[in-house]
Amino acid sequence: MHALVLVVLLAAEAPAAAPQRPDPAPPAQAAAAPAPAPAPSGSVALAVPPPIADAERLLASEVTAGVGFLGSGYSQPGYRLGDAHFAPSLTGRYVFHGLTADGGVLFAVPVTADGTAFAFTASLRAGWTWRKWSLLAGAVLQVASGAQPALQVLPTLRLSADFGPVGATLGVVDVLGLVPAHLSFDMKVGGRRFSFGWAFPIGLLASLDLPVSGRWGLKVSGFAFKAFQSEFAMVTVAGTFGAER
Amino acid sequence: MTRALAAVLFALVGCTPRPGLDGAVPSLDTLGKGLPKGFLWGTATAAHQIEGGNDNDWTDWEAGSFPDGTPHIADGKPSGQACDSWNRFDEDLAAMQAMGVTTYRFSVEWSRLEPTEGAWDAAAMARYRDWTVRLRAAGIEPMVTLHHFTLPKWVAARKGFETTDTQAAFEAFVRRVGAELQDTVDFWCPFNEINVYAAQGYLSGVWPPGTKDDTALQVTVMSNMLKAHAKAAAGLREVDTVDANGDGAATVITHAHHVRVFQPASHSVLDTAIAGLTDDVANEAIPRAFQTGRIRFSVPGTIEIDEAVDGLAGSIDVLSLNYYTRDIIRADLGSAALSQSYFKGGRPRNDLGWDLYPDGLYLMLKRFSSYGWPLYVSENGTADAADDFRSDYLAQHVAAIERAVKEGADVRGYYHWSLMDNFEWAEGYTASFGLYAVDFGNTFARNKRPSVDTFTAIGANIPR
Repeated sequence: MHALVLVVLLAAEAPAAAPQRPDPAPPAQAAAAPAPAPAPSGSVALAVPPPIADAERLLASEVTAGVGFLGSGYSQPGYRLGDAHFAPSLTGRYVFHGLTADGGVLFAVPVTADGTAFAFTASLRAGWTWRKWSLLAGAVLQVASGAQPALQVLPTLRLSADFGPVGATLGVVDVLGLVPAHLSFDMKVGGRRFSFGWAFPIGLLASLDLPVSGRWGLKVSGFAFKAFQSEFAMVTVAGTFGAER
Repeated sequence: MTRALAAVLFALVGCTPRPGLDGAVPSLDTLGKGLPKGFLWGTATAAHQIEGGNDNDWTDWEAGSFPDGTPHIADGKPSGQACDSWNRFDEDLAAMQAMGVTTYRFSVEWSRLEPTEGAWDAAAMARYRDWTVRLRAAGIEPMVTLHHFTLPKWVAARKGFETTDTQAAFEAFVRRVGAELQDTVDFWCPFNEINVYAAQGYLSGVWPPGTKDDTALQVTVMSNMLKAHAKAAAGLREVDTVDANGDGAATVITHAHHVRVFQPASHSVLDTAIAGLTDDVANEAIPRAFQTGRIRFSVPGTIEIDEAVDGLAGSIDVLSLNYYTRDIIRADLGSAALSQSYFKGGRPRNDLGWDLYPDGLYLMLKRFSSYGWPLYVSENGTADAADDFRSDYLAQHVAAIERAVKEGADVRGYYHWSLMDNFEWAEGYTASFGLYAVDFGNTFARNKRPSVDTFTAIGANIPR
């Protein structure tokens, strides 16, 4: 990363005001902590905020391995040219002092004979994660067997924000390049994180995270949308390994 | 909204069943028996490709080359005398009769009949009329195409169908031919492949006028030709009031619509969405215009046309499909077509590299039967100079028709492209689509290929 960008990102770590969401530390622990020394009068510029622990950041490191079923095609009255694919995927995210990288691979194995080609997709993004924001950008590369040209490259972007009880995510060429754009919202209900959103131009996407034990979990996700004459849908069941739940 | 929801749910669980018709070759003992009684069985040609001696916009184009020096015509040879059919109709008719055809689709050449504006070649018209008389006497139903890719030079000089003025000139020409042939011809096709004409001339730029990457002009030309079709159809119905074959209809008007399967290269949104858009512009927009009376073309970011046209709805009585192959579509946002198209690897191909894909004919017949028009296959054939696979191609495509018919499609005729090898536009004389080979430039003899026997055997099985 360019040094200047890193400086800007580090500078942005400094909260302008007190954190909005409750301190994650238990009350007893908070009581035991030493009281902060009062700032010397007239020395505001010297008040350096404490660094954000990775556990306090909006996103945490995580690995997900899933199997999906993907349908793609286009239609006209009386006609539909569609193909189904078995779609295993592996994705990961790593957060280190705010510096964040996420990526993944997806194999689209056509189930339909003589339809679309076998394709491999790789996504790689980098960015920064704060307490309440995360911004990642990168590229999605797709290689399709026998295609001319074989390689297809698209930009991808994901912006996430925490608004207290609800989080929001704006994705462009997201979900391993499968969803052209989406705006989704997530919340935690009964210990389970649930997200639901609008997939551009006409469609929906949703996911449900189910804690299994410790750092292990199960994620069921899917989307369905229509773009011009084409339509897409996918359901994925994945195992996740990440932060303590 | 309901339709969108149904579509995405279908996308999740559904994939298009492909019947796999390019597998086993059906038995010639029974092939054809599954077609309906009275099914028309014939061949197709086009004036400029077979007549020889024409002088039109293609004549100029054939003499030229692209900026890089590559000749406009693959082998550098102009159409010239072509098959000399202008002087050898006897031989063409004999070849057809030997195969037992019951219909023949051919075109009359506008530039021959009206070489300059307002001038009319009565002798040429009389010859065309003689052909139709003799065809009918031989029990062969003529289908007459009025525009098959060529323009008189005086029309081309006025920018052809780029402008709205040409519609009136074309209507006048069609009315005159309609009046001249009203007692011998019922089956009329004002235009052949509007979509191909516009794409080759204004997108790929490999046909006259050689304009490249002008999507806006491409769809403008298509729009103007649809308007001209509406006027031509109205004119034909007005001037042709004689029921030549006694079936109760003085005119049956069709459009020979080129259809092809646009298969996305991969599951990606871009590939699939652009394949869908390509399909909409190339396959769907024209029949939709005939049905609704509205011309609607949408190329996002380039041009949107949405216009009601008087007389367009109901301007065809039957829809005819020209089907050859399937294209694979790979998104390429840097190109005017937004994609690269190519033929799938690992598949049987013809001499031009085209995918031999009979499933596509089945899919298209099923698809367009939903419009409610009776259907004809107005062109289907393959380039196969050695005649190695034409018989199998023919048999598998007829099997595709039989299957569609069995599943309810109202298909009433088949025209094989082509009766004989001919001048194949930009491919020149390098592509051999004929049931008969032609000794070009020498004796012009029509030499029967083995696939003629397949064609004849299938025809003999059709219920009469």
